[in-house]
Amino acid sequence: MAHCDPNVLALAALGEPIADAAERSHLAGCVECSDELESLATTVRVARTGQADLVLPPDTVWQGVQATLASEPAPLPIPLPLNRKRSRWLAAVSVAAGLLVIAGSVAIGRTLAQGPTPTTVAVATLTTLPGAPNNASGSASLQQRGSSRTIEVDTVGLADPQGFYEVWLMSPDDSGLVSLGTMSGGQTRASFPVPDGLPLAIYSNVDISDEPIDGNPAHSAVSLLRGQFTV
Amino acid sequence: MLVESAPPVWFPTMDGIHQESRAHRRPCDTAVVIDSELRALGQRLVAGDEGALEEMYRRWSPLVYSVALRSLPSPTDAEDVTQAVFVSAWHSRTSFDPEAGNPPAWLMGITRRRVADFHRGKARQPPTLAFALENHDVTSPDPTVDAINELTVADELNCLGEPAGAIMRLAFYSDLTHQQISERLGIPLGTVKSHIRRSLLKMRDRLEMTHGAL
Repeated sequence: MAHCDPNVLALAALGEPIADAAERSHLAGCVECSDELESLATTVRVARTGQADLVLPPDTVWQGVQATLASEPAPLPIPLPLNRKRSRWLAAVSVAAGLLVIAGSVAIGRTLAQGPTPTTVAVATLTTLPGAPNNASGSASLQQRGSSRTIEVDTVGLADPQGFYEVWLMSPDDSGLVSLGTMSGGQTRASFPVPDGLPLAIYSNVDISDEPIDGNPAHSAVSLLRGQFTV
Repeated sequence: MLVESAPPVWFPTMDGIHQESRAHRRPCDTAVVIDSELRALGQRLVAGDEGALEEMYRRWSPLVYSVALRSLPSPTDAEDVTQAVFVSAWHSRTSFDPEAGNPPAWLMGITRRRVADFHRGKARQPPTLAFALENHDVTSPDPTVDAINELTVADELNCLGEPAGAIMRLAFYSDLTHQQISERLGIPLGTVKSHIRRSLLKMRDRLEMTHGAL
């Protein structure tokens, strides 16, 4: 027979019996229908377990968000075709926020980095690609300090390049590639400025390649470590 | 009616691919597709429109705050984490993909990480033996994920509109059959059934998207 009626599966997920014997026997032997039923039944279980009420946070939370963002420099330009008007609330709260910050808002200072302190906004775990030393590993973090962005790279087990290592930002589909800079063999940490306006939503992968000293600025196609930024 | 679907992937972890493939494999159901209003909101956020953050806060701060309340020792901690979640959302907005991502699911991913940061911050203090034992059991379920699941369903239930919301509450919490619901609300049986199916699919898909984003 055809698959079970979706309405019947939904009711069965809620615990109602399946009246039709043919549907019952189909369900018993059909992986698709039983998986569908199981996923809906799990949803019902979560709903019945939770029966949770959502709680509104106090207004001070949004005020804290506004004050924190207003104390930062203007948003970074992002190359997308849109009308970037100065925000209503960002402008409106900046004076009040300034006062808050001057007064030393303990709640904000406690939880969020401001001013000259860089904030880690994304991290990437770098894992080995074929050809990399077995014990190699690395990580990258995207630091934001005001409007400037920096990528800090830490590596382990990269000590023997053909010439040097090069750090790149690339799009996951390999359609775009930007060189950030180089690292020497044995160098375990480096920091690179991110060009203003470079959209990290697109260039979200960090790649470390092994480069010969041949004067060719292109990627050698020998990638050793790679990872994607996540929040 | 024929359901032309491959077996659904239930709660894929750390794998956004399943959400996409599911959307393609289930042409009969539209709930998985990011609705145009949410996509527009995501696009505004990525583009740097602070109004979009404000709207996200208005719509989902109760969800974020409620998850934080369930996961942290005190309301003050939950307030701090909620604030940090929306500041993080703003700072990392370019990492959001409005075409494939669901904004509240993305916020849940950030919430889980900020809650984990909070616990790690505590862990940097000299650990007691009890704390160390408690935190080295990698198999223990993450209570934050339970809170995210339950509150995500509660949030979706609130978004269903009526009469779907009333129908689902009677089905979930009063254990009424669809016939009893039909009689109680004076709504035709077939309408009740299709509200139940559509609502359950929406909640199931929202849970799956959220898991894809954790």
